[in-house]
Amino acid sequence: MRDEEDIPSLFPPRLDEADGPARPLSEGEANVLVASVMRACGLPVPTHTPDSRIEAPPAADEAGEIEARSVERMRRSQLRIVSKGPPAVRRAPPVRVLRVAIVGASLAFGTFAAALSGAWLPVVREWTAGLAAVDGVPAAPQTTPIHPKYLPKVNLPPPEPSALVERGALDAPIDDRHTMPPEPAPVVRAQQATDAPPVPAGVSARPTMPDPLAVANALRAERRYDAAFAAYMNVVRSGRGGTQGVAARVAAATLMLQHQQDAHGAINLLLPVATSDAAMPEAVYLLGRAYDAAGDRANAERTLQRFLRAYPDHPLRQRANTRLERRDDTAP
Amino acid sequence: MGSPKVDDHVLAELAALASEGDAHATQRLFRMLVPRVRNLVRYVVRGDRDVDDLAQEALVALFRGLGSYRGDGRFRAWADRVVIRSALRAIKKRRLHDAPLREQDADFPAECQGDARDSYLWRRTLVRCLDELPWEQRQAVVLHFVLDFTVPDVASELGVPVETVRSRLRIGMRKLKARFAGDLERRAG
Repeated sequence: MRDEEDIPSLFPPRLDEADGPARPLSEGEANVLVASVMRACGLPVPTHTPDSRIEAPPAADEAGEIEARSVERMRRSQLRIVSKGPPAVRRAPPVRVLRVAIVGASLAFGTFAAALSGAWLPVVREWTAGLAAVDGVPAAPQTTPIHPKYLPKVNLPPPEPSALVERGALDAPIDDRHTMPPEPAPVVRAQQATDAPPVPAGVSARPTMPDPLAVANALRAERRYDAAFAAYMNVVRSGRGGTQGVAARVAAATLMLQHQQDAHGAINLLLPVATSDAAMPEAVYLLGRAYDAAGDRANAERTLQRFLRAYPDHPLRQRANTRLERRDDTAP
Repeated sequence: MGSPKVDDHVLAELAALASEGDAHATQRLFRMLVPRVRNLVRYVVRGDRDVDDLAQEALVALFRGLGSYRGDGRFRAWADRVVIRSALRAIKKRRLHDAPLREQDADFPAECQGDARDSYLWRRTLVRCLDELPWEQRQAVVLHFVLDFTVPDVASELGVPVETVRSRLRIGMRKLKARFAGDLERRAG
């Protein structure tokens, strides 16, 4: 059909995002349209109005946040949740119903026990104390202790030691810049440990093979920056594409800037992923920072302005603005 | 203005975050999709008046359907299907295909220069010719030539026999060419 009708001469090749045939929208009109769609979907409309009164946090926090955001995005993208609908509001358990259930159960049990023993008074006291505790009122001190024979016998299994306590994870130092929650306990085999970087306690891993990026993140969380950098570079060198490769580059470049003062190395690492139209915003921003650190003012300004143009509502916008303003102040 | 080309995996990633309730990701996804959705809607609806309303409805439908995107194909292709179904349903429901055409002059953005401007004007001319086609032929032509649906896919989407689709495509394209040649002559004269 297509060949018979000589279509290529008449139709554009495929649908795309270029102008036309719909009338082009201005930036403001597009924002209004998107905002109305988000409201129709029941979503809040995020706004990031830069506020110059808010002081930018120190550079270490900034770098940590960039890294955490990019890695968190990558982690979410790996979840591969297949059949999930739009987010549903999760209701809290009805407290009032629970209270009624607890009181009813204690009343039934107390009545039964008292009928058997004929001792009403301790049962009433117990029940009253339980009711007061449920309602948040402190129970009155008991003058007569309850005899154990009135207490229900429940066969509970012996408590198992927590996996976290066993691994000593609760005693491990907490890196407050690492915003990712800890993942399930790893099972690391000795054979794998020879190939991969050492896996510290509390590091996540799947039963078969540890995720190299998760290993690198854990090393960084333990402040073992050299080992973390090596692990990130392993991910980069492995040629992983997509978000994981970009996240590893961003994380490695952050460490180069923060702990190795190697701005040129960071630039080389970021250039392949920060110059495309579809670049991850954190990568573009970090490239601007790296240029700034390397003393390349022109490129730093150009990159930061490109970041502001491409991602006008990104949370890092204010920091990019602050950097540009600081540069304006110091310009001759 | 048209938006820069974004990799499909970026859109798929944003869609995954949006389906988890991430408002920032949803906003970015919508911002990236708005030009494409509006263009697609304009291909099927007569005139510019209802484009934004239909695009808005299509984006809402797309958000509600995000949970059914399994990530096993191109996100754009999946989104195009959702959008075209939403648009066709709305056009039929509101009888927009019978609405009188109130075409206005095409205006183009000042930033649009050179090839981009030529491309824009070309598409505007083309869609004005599409506006003259009967509704059934227009649906078939857009699905087949703009969205690259196969003829059996078009038949399945429209719920008509394959031969009917072929016939509509043949007649529709003949009219479109004639209309287009007339438009060119009118402009030249």
